[in-house]
Amino acid sequence: MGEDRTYTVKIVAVEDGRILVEGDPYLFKDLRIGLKPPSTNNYILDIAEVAYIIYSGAGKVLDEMGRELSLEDVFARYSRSKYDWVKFSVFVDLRNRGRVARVGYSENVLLVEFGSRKFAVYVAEENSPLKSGDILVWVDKALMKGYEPVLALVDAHGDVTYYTLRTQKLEDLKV
Amino acid sequence: MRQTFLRGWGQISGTSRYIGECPSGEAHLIGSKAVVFDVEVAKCLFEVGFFGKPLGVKKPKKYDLGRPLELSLVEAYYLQQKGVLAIVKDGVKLSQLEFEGLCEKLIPDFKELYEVYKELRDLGFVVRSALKYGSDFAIYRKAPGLEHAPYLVKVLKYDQVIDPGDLIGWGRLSHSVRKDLLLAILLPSGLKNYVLFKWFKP
Repeated sequence: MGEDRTYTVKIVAVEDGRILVEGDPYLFKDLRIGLKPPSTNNYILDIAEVAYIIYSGAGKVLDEMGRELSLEDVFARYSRSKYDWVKFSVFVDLRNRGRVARVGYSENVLLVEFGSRKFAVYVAEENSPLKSGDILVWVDKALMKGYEPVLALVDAHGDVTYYTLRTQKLEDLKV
Repeated sequence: MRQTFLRGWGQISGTSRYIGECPSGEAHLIGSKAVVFDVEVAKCLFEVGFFGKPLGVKKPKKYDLGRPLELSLVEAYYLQQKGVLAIVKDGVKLSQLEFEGLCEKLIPDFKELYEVYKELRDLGFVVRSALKYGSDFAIYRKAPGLEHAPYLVKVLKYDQVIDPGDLIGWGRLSHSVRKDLLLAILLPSGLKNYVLFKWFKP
């Protein structure tokens, strides 16, 4: 953040799980979060990004009535998807590894770019079963959008393990 | 005649040999194992295709091969399908349909396991059980002894529910033994998709 300055972000509205906020543009730029629609000065944030403002200590988040929100308040009041918390865990884990995670194209996806590689990180957690067919759908979707698919598996204690997923032709495995 | 017919499939990777070179024989069904007592057939099946395991030998060498050969049901069914082995139960030869029915009773998901096994074998991989690695199969591009199996295979049905905790376990185990994990996912259409699942540090 550079200097000792605490930003304030105010929630203006919430629509379809997307949180419309107003605040200092430098915050969004510094944290590399949010999406700014051209027609407005507001920013659209995902709940993981709102939570990250508080978690990182970069700023205060106020609700529509101007009351300051804690991390707990954010999830209690604005969480709409079962993936919200676990996605936030992975978001934080990637940021802690020096990777800038951004919100992806569906509720359990984060996007990460480093070097010349672009990854779509699908988030899943222990004790929250998935179907093996989901894996194929995720792989196809990521590839279609130009990303390498990665699965981030979060265990019961919040530890994250990452796996790349690659469709494999058996013929190519031969010597 | 059979040998000629068999060429084109069953070539074992890393060798120029075919299971069709083996004399035809019988495997006797005992519980969930099929045992080839004829040591000439047993020796040939192991030498040529690394099918089964000579009884009581952990890491078979050439001089260990004069023993009965224990086959898994998946291996035995494959060899029956290919016309190499007849399957005998209580002194009676089983038809392919009878043996298939029996296998399905004894092994959950037999059909799916066999479909993947067959595809891998037909492509020339040596396929061995990988129970000790928590997977269904270990596959070799060359042969056991010439290389460590580079890949483990986990067979999954398309709509199979899996706990991500299991995925973590399979991934961790395969990584710890320096193998890559292939998820073989069977589509409702019968096609199979393979996904290479590899530990990654972002």
